[in-house]
Amino acid sequence: MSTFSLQIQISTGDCLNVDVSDTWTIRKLKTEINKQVKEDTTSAPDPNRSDDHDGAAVWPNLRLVLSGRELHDEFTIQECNLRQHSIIHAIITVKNDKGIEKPSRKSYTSLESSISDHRPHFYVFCKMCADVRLGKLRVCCQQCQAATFIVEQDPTCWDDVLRPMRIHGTCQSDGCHGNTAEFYFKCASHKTSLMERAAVLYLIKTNTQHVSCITCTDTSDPVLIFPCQQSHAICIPCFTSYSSTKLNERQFIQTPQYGYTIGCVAGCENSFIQEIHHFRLMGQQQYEKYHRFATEECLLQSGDVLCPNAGCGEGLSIPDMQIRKIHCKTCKFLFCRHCLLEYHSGECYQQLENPSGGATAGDLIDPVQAERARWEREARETIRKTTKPCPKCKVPVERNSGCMHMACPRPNCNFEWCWICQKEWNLNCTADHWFG
Amino acid sequence: MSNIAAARIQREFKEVVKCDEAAKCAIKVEMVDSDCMELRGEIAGPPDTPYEGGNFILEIKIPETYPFNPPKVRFVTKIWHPNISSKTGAICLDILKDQWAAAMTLRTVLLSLQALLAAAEPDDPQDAVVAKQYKEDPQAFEDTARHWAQVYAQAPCNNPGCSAKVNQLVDMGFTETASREALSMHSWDVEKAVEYLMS
Repeated sequence: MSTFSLQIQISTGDCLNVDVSDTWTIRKLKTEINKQVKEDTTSAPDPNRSDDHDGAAVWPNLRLVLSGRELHDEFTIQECNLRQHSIIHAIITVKNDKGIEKPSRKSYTSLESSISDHRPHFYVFCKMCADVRLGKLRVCCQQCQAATFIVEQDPTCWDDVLRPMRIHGTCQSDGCHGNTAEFYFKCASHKTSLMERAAVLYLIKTNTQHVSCITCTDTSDPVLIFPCQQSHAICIPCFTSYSSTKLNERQFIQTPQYGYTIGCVAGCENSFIQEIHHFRLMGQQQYEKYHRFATEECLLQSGDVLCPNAGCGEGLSIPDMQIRKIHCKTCKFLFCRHCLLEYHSGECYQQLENPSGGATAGDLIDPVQAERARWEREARETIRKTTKPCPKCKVPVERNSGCMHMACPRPNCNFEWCWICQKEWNLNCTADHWFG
Repeated sequence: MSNIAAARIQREFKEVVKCDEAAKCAIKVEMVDSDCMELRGEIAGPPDTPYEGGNFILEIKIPETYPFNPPKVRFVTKIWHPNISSKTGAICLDILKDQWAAAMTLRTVLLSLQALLAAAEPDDPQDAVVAKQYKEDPQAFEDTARHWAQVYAQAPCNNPGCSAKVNQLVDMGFTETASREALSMHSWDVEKAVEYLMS
């Protein structure tokens, strides 16, 4: 048996805290609420209140709602999955015609346990905690956003919860005729305000199957399950390293459907992560970098250029491909569209084969070196000396071992070229200088 | 070295040591330094190939970002094979490049390399000279591969003809390695090899 505090949000706008024990029935909770209200309000007559005499309930028709379900009198607090800091919505109403099912003594299934029998189940990224936390599923009226909403049927799959307009019900707020449920998540590890929401990380699951991480082979909990056919599991520290490594090497892929993302660590097909909040696991700094890279990749794909000046990187949209002289409006740097160096007169010999694929200087090579290059001219010089630009997209590429057959490391380019000829790889390269 | 990489390598190292293939002496791995950044692999030449009976040493360098990036593997033992450079030992194998996946291990890498020795892919060659010979003069290729395995990988000697030709060139004043390479490149045609060495 455990005791904790519940927050009761009353439809009159009042709010009270009730200390409860998990063996209490909902009926007892209602009595307790009535008792507290009575103590609190000795004056100020309430229109919803029944005749006030000793021993009678203040609100005999008090109804309690949590996550789209009405809590019926016979159930215990434990059965209803109530925990510390849970917010229960109390409706005081005299009307009884808003489509509420009559209390029935079938076992209470909360929304959460109807998706899986194992609890805790949901994981969210809580901005306040700046970390992955256990989350709780909540529901409100899509129209008026009030939590006093009772669902007609439980969600049975993630799509029911994540996609709008799939689950219907009845809003219990006065004057609202909303009939569509809106699901959202909250952090379960601390007290939250009514409006506070957290991004659900639906690929993270409680490791009920005791599967080992595909990368480090440790069995830990929770795990992230890739959306591939084989449902490969990876532990959170390995996922963090994986995504950070891929991000730093610019190995994320710009996809038309899901944006800038990566797939399963085992290289499975159709395994792209669709909810980008999962990349928050990399930490704030890396997540910001993720957004920066994603924006850059998006700009490059639409034919825009990025200012090559150290520390700038401003996205510049100059749709006329004939214009070679580009003036950055942010840092005032004047550069050549083709070679991305300071603007020069005369012919540019770095003419792009595919003018839409301009690229930023640095970053694809050693990230440390590239980071320094944003500030140091000397390091930029090193990069210039140790790399050759991809003949198609111009991104500097370093050849650290192996043969002369190069493949552009930018996933969205992948152009195959010869390190010596600096042209597309061909049979002559194989025959004459495969090996230098 | 990151914790994940070190932990993974230690586990994979044990996996190789305990595996069935190691018991049959087909693959082997040793630590070179204490922090697991560099390992020494060994694979046995597969049966019914020119490499049979030979032992091939590999240099395995583990990147900081392992297992999200592939290990860098190179043949230390000189070998005559279309997908392996006869000069540097660099390997052309997709899983060591863009087809690498974090689910692969040292054991799968060693076994894949062994499979590569048994089934070359001459259309994706690392060494163009070897690949040409492999396709156009299979007998010369087999003789050369066998001779190299015998000289460099301690495979049993069963083709004294090649050694005799190498000695012939050595007697003319060329170094043994250069003579062997020249003869190998010219399918053991002594005249052409000499011409090549003189040019």
